[in-house]
Amino acid sequence: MVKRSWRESGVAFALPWMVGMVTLTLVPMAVSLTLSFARWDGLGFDSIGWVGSAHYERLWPWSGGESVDPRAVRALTNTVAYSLFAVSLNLMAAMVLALLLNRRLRGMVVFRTVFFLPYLLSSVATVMMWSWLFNPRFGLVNRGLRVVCDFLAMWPGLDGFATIELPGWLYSEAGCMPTLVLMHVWLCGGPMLVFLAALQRVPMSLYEAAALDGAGRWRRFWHVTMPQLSPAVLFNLVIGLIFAMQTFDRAYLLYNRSQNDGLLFYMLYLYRIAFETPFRIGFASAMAWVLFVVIAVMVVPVLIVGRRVVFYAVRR
Amino acid sequence: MISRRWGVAGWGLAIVAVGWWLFGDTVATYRPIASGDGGGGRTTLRFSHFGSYQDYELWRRVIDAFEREHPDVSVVQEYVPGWYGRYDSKIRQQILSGSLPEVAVMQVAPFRELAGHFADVGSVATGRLVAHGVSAFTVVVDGEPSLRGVPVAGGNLLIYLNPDCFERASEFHGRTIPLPSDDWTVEEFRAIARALTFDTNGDGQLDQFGLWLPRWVYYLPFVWSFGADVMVDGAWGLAGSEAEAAFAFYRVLANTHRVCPKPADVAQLIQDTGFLTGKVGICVNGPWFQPFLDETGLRDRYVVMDVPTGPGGRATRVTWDGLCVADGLPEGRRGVAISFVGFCLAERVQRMIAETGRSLPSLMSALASFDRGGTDVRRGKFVGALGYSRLQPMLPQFGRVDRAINRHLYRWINGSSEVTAADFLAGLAADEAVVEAFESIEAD
Amino acid sequence: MIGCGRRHTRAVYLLLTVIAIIALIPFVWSVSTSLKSLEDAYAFPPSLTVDDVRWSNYGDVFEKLPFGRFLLNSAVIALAAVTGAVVTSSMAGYALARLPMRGKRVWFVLLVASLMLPSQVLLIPHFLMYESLGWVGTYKPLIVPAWLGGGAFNVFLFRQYFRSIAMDVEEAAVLDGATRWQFYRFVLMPMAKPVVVAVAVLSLLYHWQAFLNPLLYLSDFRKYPVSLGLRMYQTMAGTWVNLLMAASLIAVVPMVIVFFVGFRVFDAGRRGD
Repeated sequence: MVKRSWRESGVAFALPWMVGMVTLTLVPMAVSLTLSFARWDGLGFDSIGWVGSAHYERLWPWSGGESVDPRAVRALTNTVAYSLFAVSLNLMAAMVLALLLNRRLRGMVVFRTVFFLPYLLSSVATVMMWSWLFNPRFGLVNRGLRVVCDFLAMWPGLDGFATIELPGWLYSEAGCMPTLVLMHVWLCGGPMLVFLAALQRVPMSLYEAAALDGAGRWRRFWHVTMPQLSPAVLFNLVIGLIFAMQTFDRAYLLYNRSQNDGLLFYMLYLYRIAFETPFRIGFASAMAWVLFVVIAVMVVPVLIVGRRVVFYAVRR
Repeated sequence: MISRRWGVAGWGLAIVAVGWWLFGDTVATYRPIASGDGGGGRTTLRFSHFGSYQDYELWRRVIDAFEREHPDVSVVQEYVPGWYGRYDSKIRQQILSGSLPEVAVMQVAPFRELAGHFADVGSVATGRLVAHGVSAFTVVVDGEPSLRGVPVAGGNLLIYLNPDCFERASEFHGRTIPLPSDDWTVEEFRAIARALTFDTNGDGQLDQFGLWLPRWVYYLPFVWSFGADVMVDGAWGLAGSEAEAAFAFYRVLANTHRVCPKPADVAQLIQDTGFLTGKVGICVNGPWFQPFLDETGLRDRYVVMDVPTGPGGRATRVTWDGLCVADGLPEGRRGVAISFVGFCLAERVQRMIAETGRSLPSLMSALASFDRGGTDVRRGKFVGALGYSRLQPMLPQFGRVDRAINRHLYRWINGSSEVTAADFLAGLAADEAVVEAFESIEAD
Repeated sequence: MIGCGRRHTRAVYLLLTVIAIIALIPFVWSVSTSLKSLEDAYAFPPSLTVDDVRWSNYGDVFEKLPFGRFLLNSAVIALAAVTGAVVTSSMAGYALARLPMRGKRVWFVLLVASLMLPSQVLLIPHFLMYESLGWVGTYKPLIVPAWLGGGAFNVFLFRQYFRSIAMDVEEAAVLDGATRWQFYRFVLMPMAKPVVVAVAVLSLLYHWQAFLNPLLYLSDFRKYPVSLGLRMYQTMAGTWVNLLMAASLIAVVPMVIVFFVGFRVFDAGRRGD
């Protein structure tokens, strides 16, 4: 191959990003790692006091004793459970929608825009609507469930349904997290867009060939569509997990006093510690690094498995 | 060749332009003489405040008036939409980076933690200020009291009543439920709250409620009425039979009588809208509630009542916003900042604040402009109640302790009825946030 | 996409319509609230119908606050940032996906790692840096980072896409004598139109809705974007929810238009396949 000048090298293309990476990410990361071993109220640099690994011990549930912060542990388990459920259901919904939309029929453009609308609308409106729909007393959801239960109760042996207690959804400690999972499923417009982008690149010839081989709808889906979609699945899964682990505003906006700590997300707790008085920036930095490690533990195996399974056009 | 040369020139020009855009401000920042202080030019003064668009308009008018009187000064209005948390975070970031505005409006609670970053402004304060406000912004430095902020506007808590709820209750019970009088007791308060709570349509679920459950800060008048206090002699004070009685009363209202709606009973309504819509008949609130109500149909009808008297007497909570001047300013700039603060204490500026109806002015002589007299007795009650108002307790690490108290309180009333008020108070006193906050005072 | 029977088509339409209705509820909700008086907006129980339609709310939005100015500010910030994000993240994505580069694995690991990093932690170091550059109070902290890679997410998106384009396309272009820049500009980017649109639209949305950064870095009211302006209809005592909804809807209109246009490009890219 011809020897290329520096201007043609990968570094030239990646330079702006690399500069950003170093100045906006690596240096601040080093700062926050350093601070995670200190106690600091963020009011002048002379108030930094070194505490060693004390912050990390507070976040390690097995370190025993009273030093563990039970709310941080609760926040982490809440967040991990939420991410696993919310992301997998969200991806399934997004894929179904993308498959439904990926056909040459009239009005698909309209539907696509409509499905994306929840994504565009301000979170205030969205949150208001959700607290109405899932209100245990007045909400549409429980009113519908009540009708279903009353109907079931008419059958012999099922009369227990007449007196069954309906879920408290957002207004109970146990119900608020599942409600948030549902809300995340509803907001599947983003991954849907990625799936659609991938679907549209599946060459028609592959389907034609499969059809000639006599493959049915399912076989075509599994042997043609899925392999072509696999990079998009991997992408959505990784991005979805990373973003879900950092859930913040929804939990912040949907708080009510009936939830106790049911909606205590990790980033919400971290934010309160870092930016509500008194600032505890050292502890917040340690929390961030723990979250970073937890996300890595979840995502890296997915990436490694993904490398083997995912179908790429580039083969070396 | 020519086109190539032009191309190079174009690139060069572009690079210079982008460089200037990127680093022009940087150069300006580090130029030895700050451009604002240039001799003969106008001095710029940064002034920051928080609030809604109404606060923005108020301060805009104050600044305009100030600039007319001081043509050599230009005031930059830095406005953060929102309250406590957001504004406070921004001020802290600015302290850290050394870019604190010359003058900032501060609420008392965050002020107490940051007092060391503000200059003494004792020279501005006159003897004609409301005493609560002055003590709110006085801190002890090296054994000497020092005024680190000038109170400009404040407010105390009173009881708001929605007469529509009384009418509906009278109709429901078949007897008149009269509005209380200002000398009511907590027992009468309880009876009225119960009478306002009922199930209109007989479906077994309450439809109208007596009281919007107050956060602990808004419940302080009751804590004091029962003779308890949050802080006693600089230490955590919520213990003993008075405190237990005060919080047992809270729980009775919330759970036993159910006079307070649970969040699910009112969907996404908040205190103000729950009251506005007549879903709840009573709420505890300050004068800042008035501008909102005055834009609704309830404008002419809502009633403001004094705080009920309890076994420990009668008291209500008052809080102040003050103007703080950044510490360590050069002399000239400090003088301009001080003159702006002094201007905000002038009679006519204090009247402007009073006329918004959202807070009491801090200047005694301006209080009359808040109390509009015969046309509206409600405003007069806030002025009158200053006589029995107590300054909000200056808890250390206020934000964190505030959240801890509310969290414990809600968990207690949401939870099993077997946990007594004494258990609740013991759990709260042992909370890490409370313990660490009071340790932090000892450390100082 | 192949062999859609009539009944099948009808079922698809029915399903899509049901989902569309669910997706539209909050939108209808906002429209109806934006046309109510304050009391009606909070009426209990709430209703979607409006008895007394108040179009004047939309006028009040502009009268109470300089909302037009906020819209313009948002447009300036968002356009500058989105351009930067698309240009620099696609370049980085190209380099990481297909170009020889020293330490490429390390850079890729850093890319993925930076995706996983909770952004709030970087707030304080960033603030100190921008303050020392004299950038606080200007739009630079909101725009410049977009020109330095435009977010790990976008780089990642481009990299994934570019990897899936067959190598022989590039070899053919190189044989024709194209430089890598020409290949990137005239072959790769047009091929990647759907991703360009996706990145542009998603990062536009991100910058349009961004709240925390403008709040931290801007102080002058006249420079505020829409996202901050919206919060001004909330007061300590209550929220002018009708005005808030009207303002939110005005703010969302440009986004809806961009989406319609964006989807058309999306479709055009698809037909060219």
